[in-house]
Amino acid sequence: MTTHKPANASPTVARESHEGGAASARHRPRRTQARAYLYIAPAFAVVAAFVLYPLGQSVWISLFQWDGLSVATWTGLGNYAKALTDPTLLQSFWHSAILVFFFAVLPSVLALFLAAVLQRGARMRGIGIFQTLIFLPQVIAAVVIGVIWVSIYAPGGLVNTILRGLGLGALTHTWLGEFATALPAVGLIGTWMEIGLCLVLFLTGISQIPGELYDAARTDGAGAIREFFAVTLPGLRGPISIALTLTVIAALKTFDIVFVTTGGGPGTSTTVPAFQVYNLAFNQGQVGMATTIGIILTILVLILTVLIRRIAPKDDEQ
Amino acid sequence: MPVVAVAAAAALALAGCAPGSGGNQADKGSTGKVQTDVSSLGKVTLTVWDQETTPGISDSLDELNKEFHQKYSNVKIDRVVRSGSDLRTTLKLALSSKNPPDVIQANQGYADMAAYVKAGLLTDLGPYEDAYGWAKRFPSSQLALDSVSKDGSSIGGGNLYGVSITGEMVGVFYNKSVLDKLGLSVPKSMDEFEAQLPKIKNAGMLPISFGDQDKSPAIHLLSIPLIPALGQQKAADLVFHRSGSFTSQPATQAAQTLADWASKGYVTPGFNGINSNSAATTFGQGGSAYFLGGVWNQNAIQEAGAGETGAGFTVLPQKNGDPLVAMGGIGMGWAIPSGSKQKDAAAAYIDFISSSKGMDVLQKNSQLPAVPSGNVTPKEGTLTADVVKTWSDLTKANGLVPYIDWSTPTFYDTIVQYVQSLMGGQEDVSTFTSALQKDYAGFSGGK
Repeated sequence: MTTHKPANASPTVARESHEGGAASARHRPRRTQARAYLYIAPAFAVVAAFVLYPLGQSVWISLFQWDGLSVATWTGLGNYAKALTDPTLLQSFWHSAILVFFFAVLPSVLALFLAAVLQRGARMRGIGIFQTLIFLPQVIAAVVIGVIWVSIYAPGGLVNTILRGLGLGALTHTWLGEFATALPAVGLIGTWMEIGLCLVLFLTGISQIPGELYDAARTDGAGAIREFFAVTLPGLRGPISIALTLTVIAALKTFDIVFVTTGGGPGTSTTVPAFQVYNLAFNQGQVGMATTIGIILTILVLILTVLIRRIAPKDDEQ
Repeated sequence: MPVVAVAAAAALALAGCAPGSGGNQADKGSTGKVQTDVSSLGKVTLTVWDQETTPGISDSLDELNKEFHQKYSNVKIDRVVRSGSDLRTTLKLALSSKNPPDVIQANQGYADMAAYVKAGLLTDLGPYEDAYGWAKRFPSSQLALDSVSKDGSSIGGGNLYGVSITGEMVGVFYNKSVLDKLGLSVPKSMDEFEAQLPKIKNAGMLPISFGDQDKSPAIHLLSIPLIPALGQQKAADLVFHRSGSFTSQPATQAAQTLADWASKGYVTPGFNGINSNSAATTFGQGGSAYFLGGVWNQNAIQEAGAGETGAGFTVLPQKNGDPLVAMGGIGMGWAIPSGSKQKDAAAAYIDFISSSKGMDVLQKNSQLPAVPSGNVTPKEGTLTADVVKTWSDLTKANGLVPYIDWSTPTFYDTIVQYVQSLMGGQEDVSTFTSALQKDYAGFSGGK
């Protein structure tokens, strides 16, 4: 067995990169390894210079109290301790968690439903136009989306006008200005933004599920709902994990929507970590603290991404 | 991969370089002696960064720049205009670079001007103040607002680091025809003003058009009951940490007033979701009797339909006959970065735009000059005439109080956040005042 290894080294590396990659690498001849490093060197150099070095610099800055101008004061992990105990900062992380529901969970569920329905109407005329329209929010800049929704949510805006037209005047709110409604209102903008992305991913995913599976399900007498849970949903594990990764990251790094629609208000009811980073660094001159929140956010995104990747089918399952 | 990031951090740690230690603290381009004869400086290009994007003041600066160049043909002015928030975010980097601009506009307060001074990035304008006689040109209360202690730890006094050319104040805009229709006269005090509010409301008219989505109006609104209740001296003492507190009786009363205005419907319903500009527009269209805001709202009010004569402006003392008092200040300070190589020419430029000639150009373009020269008189009965007259009276009465958010680096956020909560009915008055006091007391203000 060992004699075969060098011959098909590269596929083995690809397969084993998850478990025990390092252990088996030890047995491989040095030259192959050196050549492998040579191949990744250019990409690594770019990533190291423009991502990893600044990241390291950020970690370093996060250990100081710094106004961005004068000589900084060392605080060690003091900023981290403060970030994890300060109620306003913790609150902004909690808001992020709520936004994950609106930016990721809700659009995914809705898009799954829409995908299942659209799949049945796949031969409908003009389906392409509908798909394009639903995807459109992804193409518009978030700031523009924010401005549009500010007027939709305004006291005399579209939402309230419709409610009054339906005789539901009692339900009208200043959606972005009331403490109870501001965060969900911001969240629903995210839902509207992300649903198109999820839908396109799911529709592509469905088109790759072998037709025989559906034939088999129908032969077994499965209805639309049964078919969805037995065939469509399992077949979409890959696209779902991609959709969740993208939308969860979008939720955690939200800045533009909040900045344009509420500026974190009313009170602190819609503050998010990215907004705090901006505010601390550029308005309050607390660059060290701002960087600390940025680092914590990065770690959170990394952890969540790894967890979400677990939904995706392993290579050997395909 | 994160290993590399950690390695980078470790490398920086080994190098022992704390952030900010590589900056240029040296005072370059200063010969020690002040040269006011600009023609003798040879060929000079002055790079000027400003944030004046609104037409009136931007036109004024273009005009003044042209005239400066005509006066001194050896000086070419390279004007770079950036919007306020753009300027603020890029200025720090620019100031600490090897080639900073020669003239900038610095925002007063701890987070900006004081921080630049602390880092040694601004030129002490003292020698130029003496050479050009700025102390005679500007009231001392205005120069104090552009002054910072040498170590950057306290503001409102110390060395001069900027010169401002425009004035700003927060006061009461009133709609003349609405007041007429309701049979009310223009109030002369806060007491009169507050007595009118229920009458206006009962007549079915909105008393005060208010929008606080953009947050900064919160501070302006709070100043309306707070500053007159304290009076100029006590209010200034409070802002500059000399004495007083935000849990005092006048501050508590002011907070109660805001809460009442909101709960009694004296301000626009849903104000936390309406931006200040549309509130000003509603007022300009005759949708309310009053709008409480700054002179920067004048344009929106006039354009909304009030025109030049439909609305008036005043500031109110607590009682009839008390001296005038209002929160306000001066536009951003024109300053010279330490790294500028053309300080003498830069100072001459600042002297030029702040001269009576500069003030006239500003007023001609409907701006409020820091010190109106009296050469240009606005048409009688216009809003502009009201604003200029109120400013002159206020300056004469020495009634200007600096913005209350100057008290601490985080005060802006604290105030705007808690005013939204207080008026939105989320927090009560005592929570409000103790939250403000906590922030206020947590910062020493140079003591």
